[in-house]
Amino acid sequence: MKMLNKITVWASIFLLPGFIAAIALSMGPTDVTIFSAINNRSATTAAILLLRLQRVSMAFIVGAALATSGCIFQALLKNPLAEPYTLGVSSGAALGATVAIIFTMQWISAFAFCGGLFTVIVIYVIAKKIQFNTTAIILAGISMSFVLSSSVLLLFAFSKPDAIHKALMWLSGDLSMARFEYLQPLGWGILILIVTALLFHRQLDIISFGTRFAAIHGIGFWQISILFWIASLATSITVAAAGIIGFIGLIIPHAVRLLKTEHFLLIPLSAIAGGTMLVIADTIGRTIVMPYEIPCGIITGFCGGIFFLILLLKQKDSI
Amino acid sequence: MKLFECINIVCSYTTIPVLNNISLTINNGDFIGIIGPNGAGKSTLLKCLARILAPVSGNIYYNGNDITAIPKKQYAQQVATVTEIEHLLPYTVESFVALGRFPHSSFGRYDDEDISIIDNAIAYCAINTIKNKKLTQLSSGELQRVNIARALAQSTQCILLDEPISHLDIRHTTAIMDILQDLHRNGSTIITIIHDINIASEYCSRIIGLKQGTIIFDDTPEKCITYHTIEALFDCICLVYNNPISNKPFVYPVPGHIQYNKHRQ
Repeated sequence: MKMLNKITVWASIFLLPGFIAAIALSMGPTDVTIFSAINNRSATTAAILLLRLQRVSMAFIVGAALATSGCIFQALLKNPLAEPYTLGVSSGAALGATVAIIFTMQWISAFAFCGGLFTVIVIYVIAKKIQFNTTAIILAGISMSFVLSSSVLLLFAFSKPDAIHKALMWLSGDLSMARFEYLQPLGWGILILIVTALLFHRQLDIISFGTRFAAIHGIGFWQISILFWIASLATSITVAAAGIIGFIGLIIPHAVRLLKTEHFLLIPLSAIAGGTMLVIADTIGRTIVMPYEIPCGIITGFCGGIFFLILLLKQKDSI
Repeated sequence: MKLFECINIVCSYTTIPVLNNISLTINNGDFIGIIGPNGAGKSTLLKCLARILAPVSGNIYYNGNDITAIPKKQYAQQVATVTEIEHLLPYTVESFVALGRFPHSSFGRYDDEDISIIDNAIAYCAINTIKNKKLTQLSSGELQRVNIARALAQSTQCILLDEPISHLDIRHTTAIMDILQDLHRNGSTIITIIHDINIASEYCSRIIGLKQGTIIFDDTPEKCITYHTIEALFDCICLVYNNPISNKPFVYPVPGHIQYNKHRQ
């Protein structure tokens, strides 16, 4: 019986994302579904499905990257509240994107990426100075976030309303503005980062027990640095591609941790769950009030928050 | 044969030194108990040996090599440390013990030999029955045994322990000290911080008394546990007898309400 339960769990872990992707592909303003495409192989159906496939893939990649990054940050910072944006990457990217939207209206992703990367570099230099004292890193990240967010608000104060609206939509995580021409390199890049993180799964296990614990197992500064950069790069890339999508990086690792604690499984499971979650959120966002779109960041924050509260109440001892 | 050699180590967290010019030699096969009042620098000394903390000045040599020159992973293959776990996570006992094998693995992959060493460590500490339990569900006695099993999985020549028997009942205390003694008989070097002087006297082959960052005495229990040394170390009144069963020194700290005055006797 227990064995059967296990098989059901594992099968659903791999089948569910595929099933959800199929549903996501079949939903949209035009009435094209996967089944109709099988019966009617016209160029328009194919084109529409391809567009949706890009969108779904983008959502999956971004969700997977955020969940993995959240996993790594929670282990590195030994803080259950750590997430990809704890260190201020999102605020840096937001500032970059806002500057681009207000002044040039182009290169938004590039500006966002540079903004995020700049923040990571500043935090890394600080972290190195304080020898990866985790509480201090978190405080440094929060301080950075405040400085950068204030700068964004300052820019808003001097901008036109339509630019502000556009920036706000971008800031709330909007996959409709995603750069689909970069889908392939993005996918490969994120996959490489996730696989590299997976190679360090035991280090992550050990590091999450504490700094001293890591030291007595011979884990040095370079291993911590590599993990820091994997997580930071994954975050910066996703922010540049799709804006700020909150909550996936926080709740998914926590939810998966209820199932598995070892990072060898935690990372791939989080990636799959994060990707699937964002596909669902994005599908809801683009279909619930058709033909308008709600940025998926709003959906993840809303549904994710409620979902996590339910989970917390159900499993209050194991978190 | 010398295993550790500390030469003039000074250690400080602020400007006040916690360890004051300590020089110390530890030989292969020693079973050392470090005793002393709270804040004497015992944990700091152990952290220096474990390379959790680097001394401000002075050198520590391991097997004749400066420890800062030994790669950290290689060092972890030879010296295991048992300290309090900072963040207790709901890992199973078995997967936690397996983490101890990490310094011997490449990319965290374990082969059959690694797995049999992990199983042996679990059997050695008699935690077979709880190996599928979560760490967060264990009692402190069980947790300490699990933590020692993890250190055993590191299969090192030397084990450092920071207060392994604090807060444990007498059954768990003797169980853990018996494990350590057994390891010592099989040739391991054990260095442990210990607050119970009588337990230290029973088990350790050598006692180091540390006070205010300096070594007050360093000898076999029979020689160094006398009421002069213990009273000087802890600034309290105590009596030292011989334990009639093991013939080792036995310390009785005199409670205040007894108002015992040894000079009157």
